[in-house]
Amino acid sequence: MCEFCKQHGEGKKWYLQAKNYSEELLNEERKAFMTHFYERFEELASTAIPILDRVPFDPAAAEAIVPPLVEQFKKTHYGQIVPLEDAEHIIDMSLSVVRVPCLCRSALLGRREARYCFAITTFESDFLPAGFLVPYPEYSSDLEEMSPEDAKKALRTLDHRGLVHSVWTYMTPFIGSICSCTSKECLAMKFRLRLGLPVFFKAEYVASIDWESCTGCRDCMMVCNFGAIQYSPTLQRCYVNQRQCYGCGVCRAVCSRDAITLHDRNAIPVLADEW
Amino acid sequence: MTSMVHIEISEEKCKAPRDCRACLEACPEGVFVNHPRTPRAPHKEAEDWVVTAALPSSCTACMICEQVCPQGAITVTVTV
Repeated sequence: MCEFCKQHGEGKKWYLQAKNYSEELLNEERKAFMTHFYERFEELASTAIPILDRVPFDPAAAEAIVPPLVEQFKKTHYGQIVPLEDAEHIIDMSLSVVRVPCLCRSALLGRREARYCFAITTFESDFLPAGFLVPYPEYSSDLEEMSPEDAKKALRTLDHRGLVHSVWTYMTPFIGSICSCTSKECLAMKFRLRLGLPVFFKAEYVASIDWESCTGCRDCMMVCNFGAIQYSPTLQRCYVNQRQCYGCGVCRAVCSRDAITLHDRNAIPVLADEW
Repeated sequence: MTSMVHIEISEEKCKAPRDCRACLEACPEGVFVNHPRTPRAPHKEAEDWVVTAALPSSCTACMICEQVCPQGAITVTVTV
């Protein structure tokens, strides 16, 4: 299990644990954090972008810089990749869902209208899921209230397009949103994949491809954001590099033979420390 | 051997980065960033937007940006 499951999961996956969405956690400090986070995101991104281009950190610098930064992110704003069915499960636990402008896409591409992020709450609140954004014109004009059914439908559509879902904390362990992203537009994925700075965990799963069913069409390989699927011209089959697999499961949606399944990462000894 | 990629955007030719968005959408690696020229205060609208090749180290020199830019404002040079 990932570190957060051990600390905040009480035997369940931490992001399926109702208490990590609960009203008790929404204190003034956390409200201030969320507001500040949205207010300052563009500024934070403009600081981060030049650093992202200096990739990767040289090993000596990384040793000094990365661990304290990761610890800080873990306390404040950390994520984990979740496959579609777990994202849907979270929507089922939610009372209301508002699709909000993606902060990364607005900071990188100047697009406020790109709504790939689902703000959620499991209780009645004026502040959540996106009430706190209403005073800000550039967010409020693009908030989209959704029924849980429509939210799940939207997630499924994004999944089919190959976008990876993740949950995000606002002062851990409180979870406030589900994102859908690719490495082109997601600052978190750029942080991890380019800079070697993990700001999210891999999923609790890992993919594998059924030998008998795979036709070697490579559709899965094309959609994988993490370069975890390889093709053998000799065998004319695709196969998963499990160390590189993040367990997002979007490869399943494009497989015409339903040859790909997710397995419990925790059941595979060599992956026990691969988060 | 390492190759270097230099991406030049002509501001004279790139007239409407906020509305055009062609290079921003097309670049598979997300090299381009669209941002206000000067940092804006939180929640203030910005008038003067500019596209920069902010993450050139991600560039694979696929040249798609050159092809999609309707103004021919982008020049990618690869030096070996």
